[in-house]
Amino acid sequence: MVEEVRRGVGIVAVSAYVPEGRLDLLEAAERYGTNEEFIRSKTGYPRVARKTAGEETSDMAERAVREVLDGRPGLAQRLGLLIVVTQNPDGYGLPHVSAIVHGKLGLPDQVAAFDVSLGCSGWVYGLSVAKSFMEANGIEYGLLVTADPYSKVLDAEDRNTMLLFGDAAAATLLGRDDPRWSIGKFVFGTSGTQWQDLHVDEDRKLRMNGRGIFTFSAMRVPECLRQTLDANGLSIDEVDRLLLHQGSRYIVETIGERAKAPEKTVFSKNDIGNTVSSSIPLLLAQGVCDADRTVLAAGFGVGLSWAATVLRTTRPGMTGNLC
Amino acid sequence: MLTEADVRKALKETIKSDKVESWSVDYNFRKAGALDSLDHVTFLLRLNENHGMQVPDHDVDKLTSIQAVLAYAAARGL
Repeated sequence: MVEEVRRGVGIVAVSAYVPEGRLDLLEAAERYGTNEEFIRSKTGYPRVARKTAGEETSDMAERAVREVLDGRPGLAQRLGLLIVVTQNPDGYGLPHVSAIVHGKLGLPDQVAAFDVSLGCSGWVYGLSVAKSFMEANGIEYGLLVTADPYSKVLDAEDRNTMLLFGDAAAATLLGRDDPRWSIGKFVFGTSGTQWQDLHVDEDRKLRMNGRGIFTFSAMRVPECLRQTLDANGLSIDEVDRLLLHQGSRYIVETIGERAKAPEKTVFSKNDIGNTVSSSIPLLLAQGVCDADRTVLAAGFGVGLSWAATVLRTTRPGMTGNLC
Repeated sequence: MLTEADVRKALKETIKSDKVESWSVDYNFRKAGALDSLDHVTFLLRLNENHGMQVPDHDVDKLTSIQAVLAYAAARGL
């Protein structure tokens, strides 16, 4: 038992669910006072994914989990943890989404299920929470699900947010039995005085101070990346890939340049959009890091908050899949 | 003291182009579309980091020419 607990928890696999619906932002560019050049070179998202009106957060989470459990018979019975990272839960927010997902999937009673309220930094925070919880309680397998459909709170007239956010969910399977990725040390942070830069107002609409978010990201995240490298005894030269929250093309490329690793920085040219806490696991599910051995991952946003860690593998290869 | 050369350098680094040298000091780079909203934010970030020029959100739209930036900085002893 002691030996079992000592074995570190890592990432076994990642799957993602992306709704089929799309909003074509190139068609809507004029309405939002912009143009194709700005969309392609700055926001980076010509189209964004949209869930259907009747699709709930738990539905998206359930689909992502089913995908990651597919082909792993019996694994659901060995789960001990289900975390859902969201700030847009089902209905009125009670009960927690993870309990609803647990019910929909028919998971066993021994599974601890709880939500984590974080935005774009949520997947990295969630990794630490899940890893610590599993190691402290001797849990063999756990699930970290991110499902935060911002379309629930977007103001259709607000170009600041409509040009960026898309809906998706991701499920990260964690375990101690021969994981694909080991998880390194973390760096976290919060700047609570800036919470108004990204918040939902009294009309239940998302409001974003684009300048505030950009300045925060450009100044804080490179510093956080340096701290994370130090904490893990690495230099940037030893990192194969910078896996940043996909806030926008411009933010990702700016941080990559400031971290002095633009060639290692991925921006996923997709038609899904900024999927909040799902953007980093989506990249893993898309196979962006399949050839890499050392990845520096960082999430940042709502709070304002940030978190980073290092993922390492000795066996490059397929990590996940997308449905 | 913030100089015209400093402002032009920050603009050049932002848009990665030497065409800044041909702009007159009263050229409105925002109105002309030479800097989009994100370029503008990046330009102001450079002035903050390199010259300590902090600009509150309500003043951002005033700083759309080299002349306006120099006047704003001078009024604040920068």
